[in-house]
Amino acid sequence: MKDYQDEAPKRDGKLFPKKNGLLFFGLNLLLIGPQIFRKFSLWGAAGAAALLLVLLVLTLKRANDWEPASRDLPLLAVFDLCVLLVLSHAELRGQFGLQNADFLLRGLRSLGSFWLIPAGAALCLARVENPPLLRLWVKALGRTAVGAGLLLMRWSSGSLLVFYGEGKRLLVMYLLCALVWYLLCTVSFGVEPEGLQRDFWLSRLLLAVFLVLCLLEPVVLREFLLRLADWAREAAAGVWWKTALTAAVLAGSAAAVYEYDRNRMGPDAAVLGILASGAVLLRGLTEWYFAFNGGLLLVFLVGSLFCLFNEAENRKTFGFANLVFLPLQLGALLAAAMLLKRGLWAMVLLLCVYGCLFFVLSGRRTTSKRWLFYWLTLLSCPPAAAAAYLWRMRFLPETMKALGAVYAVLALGMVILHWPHPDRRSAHPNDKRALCVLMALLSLAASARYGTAVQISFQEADYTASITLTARGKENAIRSAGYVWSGALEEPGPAVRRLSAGETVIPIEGEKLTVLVTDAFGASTEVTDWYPGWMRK
Amino acid sequence: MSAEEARAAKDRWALLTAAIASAAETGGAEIFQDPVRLREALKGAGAAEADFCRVCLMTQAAGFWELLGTNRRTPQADLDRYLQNAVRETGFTREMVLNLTGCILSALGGAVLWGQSSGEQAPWPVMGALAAEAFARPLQALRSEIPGAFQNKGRLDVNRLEQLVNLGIPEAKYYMGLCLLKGVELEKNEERGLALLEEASEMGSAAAAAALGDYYYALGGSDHWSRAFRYYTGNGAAALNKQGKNAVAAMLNQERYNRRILVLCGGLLAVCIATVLWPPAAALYGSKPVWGWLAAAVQAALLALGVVFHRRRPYDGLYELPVAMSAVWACYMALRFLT
Repeated sequence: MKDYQDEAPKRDGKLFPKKNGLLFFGLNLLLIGPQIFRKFSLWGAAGAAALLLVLLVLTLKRANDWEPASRDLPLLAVFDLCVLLVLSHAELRGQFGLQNADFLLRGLRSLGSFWLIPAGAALCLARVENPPLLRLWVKALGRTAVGAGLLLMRWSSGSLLVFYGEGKRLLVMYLLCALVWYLLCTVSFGVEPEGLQRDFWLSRLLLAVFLVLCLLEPVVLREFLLRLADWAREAAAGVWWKTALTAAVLAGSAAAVYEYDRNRMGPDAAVLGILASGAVLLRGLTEWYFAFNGGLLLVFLVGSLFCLFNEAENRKTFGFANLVFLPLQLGALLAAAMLLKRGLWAMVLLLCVYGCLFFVLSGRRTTSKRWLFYWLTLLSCPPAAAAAYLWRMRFLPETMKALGAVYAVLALGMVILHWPHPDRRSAHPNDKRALCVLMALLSLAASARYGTAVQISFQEADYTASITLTARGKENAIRSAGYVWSGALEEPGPAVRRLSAGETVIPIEGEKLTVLVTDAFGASTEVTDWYPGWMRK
Repeated sequence: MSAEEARAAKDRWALLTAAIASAAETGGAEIFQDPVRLREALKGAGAAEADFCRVCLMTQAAGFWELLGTNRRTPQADLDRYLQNAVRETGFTREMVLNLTGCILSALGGAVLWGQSSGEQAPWPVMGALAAEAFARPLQALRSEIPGAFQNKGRLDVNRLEQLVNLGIPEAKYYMGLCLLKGVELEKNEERGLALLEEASEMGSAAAAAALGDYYYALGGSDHWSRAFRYYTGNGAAALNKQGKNAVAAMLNQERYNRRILVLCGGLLAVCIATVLWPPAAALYGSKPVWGWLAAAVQAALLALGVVFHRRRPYDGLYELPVAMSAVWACYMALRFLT
């Protein structure tokens, strides 16, 4: 951050340097404000107001023009927690006591989850100094394990997999909260590495609060976590306009703190941009749900943090300006979610391979042979993607042959355009692009015919799924059709139940529905859809 | 000769040149045959008595007046004979004879040209050669100034260059043309620069022809390259530098490369015809042979057009041809896939 300070321009005005800090405070107020009204009590509101006033004073006192305001995100989170605790002061006073602490003895008897506590403590005490980010996450793992151990002793049989009541939801929420907290710490570390020690102290404080609540106020903790779970589900699976509004507010705030004078985003704008794209992605991942969308979320988190670190160091991310990278990443992940929901994992894998290949090839196209390889690879992208799509959606060996023939002829055209010139001249890129466009159009044309259009919709009211099958083409018909229900993480079994053309209503009997159809021409279609029951309850 | 003496001689010579030009302008060629009028005219223009005598002697040298009517096919022989006679008869040095003759003839050359009917051919090659020999020293000075001027390291005496151009010296025209073409020491004027280079090239200047070749080669395009090729391989062949040689090689390479592209396009046509004869995935997508052969015919027509185009413009790229042929074939395949 020293470099950042050195290159910071001097700005006039008293409030301007505090702008970013005030903006973050304001956004946090929008987040926590509704909770004050939802759980309104005179003392609670007064306490919350006092805490927010202290936070405002701290914000105004600490903010200056060269240190990014996003370094204080953990502090904002701690104050939010304090506000929530103050708002629950009546329950805290009423149920404070050791009468529920006997779970400790049960936990000690079974020892199934007790070992998490010493293991976590050992990780916390482990001497990992460098790199600091590894130190942060090792300690994060240790502290989370300690908290999880205590939570499991209270809400499970002592085993990791057998829960009492809503133990599973509580554990998931606890882990999510821990993840969010340490992500905030990572963001803070990314924009101001010197603040790591302060964040460690705040982490210890939070763990202590959690342990106290777990021991003395388990009912309050349970209600708190369950309320948080409801709020998170509502936020993730709510209506699109709320997501759009949230993203717009965050993007607008990012535009407000954008460092126009230095022609870069700046860490604060990057953090807000990441939050905006994260809100859209979360909504997208619930809309196009599939069992492994957590993986996409992980990719988003890693990519976004990498981008943030690069922005703090004024570097590009994978050759892209960070302002370009963030929307690009969001678009790619949303597209991947859409494809993966339909079971087109081969297509996603293929596009990833092509992406990596082009990334490796960029900047290395020095010889004519490498240029030819690059353009032939680019030319092969549309038919390969079409083949991956057809393989799942309407597989016919003849279509694959046709795609191969198209590629062969257009590749010959590309080879002619790259025929070595004695004076090393080459064709205009537009000529080569024209061939690629032709390839893409022909791939689309080859993918348009035959197969079966499958539409699946879930009716939550009567717990049924409606499947509509329509054969593509005038002279086409459905030869055979069937469906299989399976668990979210299971492969469909061999017991396929028959389906007929048109609309069929079937009861929901699992989390993953696979529909298998073959049309009159032999084109086989396999469509999957997911019913995330936990999300829609 | 000291520097001062050299400067004085130069000034005197400039004065005499101006005086002769003035006399020729007022009295035409006849004034040089009338010593009284010539003396008055030269004295009036500020020339010394000795200079008047030199001019008289020069005009009375055997072969002087015949030079004006000399056939352009034998300029050097006439010139050599005249120089020998004049040196012997006048007792002047060869340099003096050249300078005086060149000066008088250039002054008269204008007058003679003015008086010519439009169809007659002017004796410019002789005049140019004479003037070049007569102004060998100023030309030498110019030659030394030119590189510096082009590298922005020195100045060029533009007035002197203009004077030499007016005398019809090919080398001066070449330099002037280059200066105008590149905007060196003068305001850029491509039209006049090209005209001067053309004139110099016609008068046999290989350097001017090579410069014209360079100019047209740099413009690119088949028309310009064809002109450049003519200049490079015609007059300019004697003055080809490395750049010019590379340009000629590049043009020859391009022509050969285009022929190869045409052959490859023939291969592409053959492959496309093969897909009509043995259509891939015919069981699923109708083979539509009529459309296939129509596409092949269009491709063949495109190829024929390409051949004609190559004959007319051998240096233009043919990269659009394979793209166009592929597009026609793609239309046929799209028709098969979609209907």
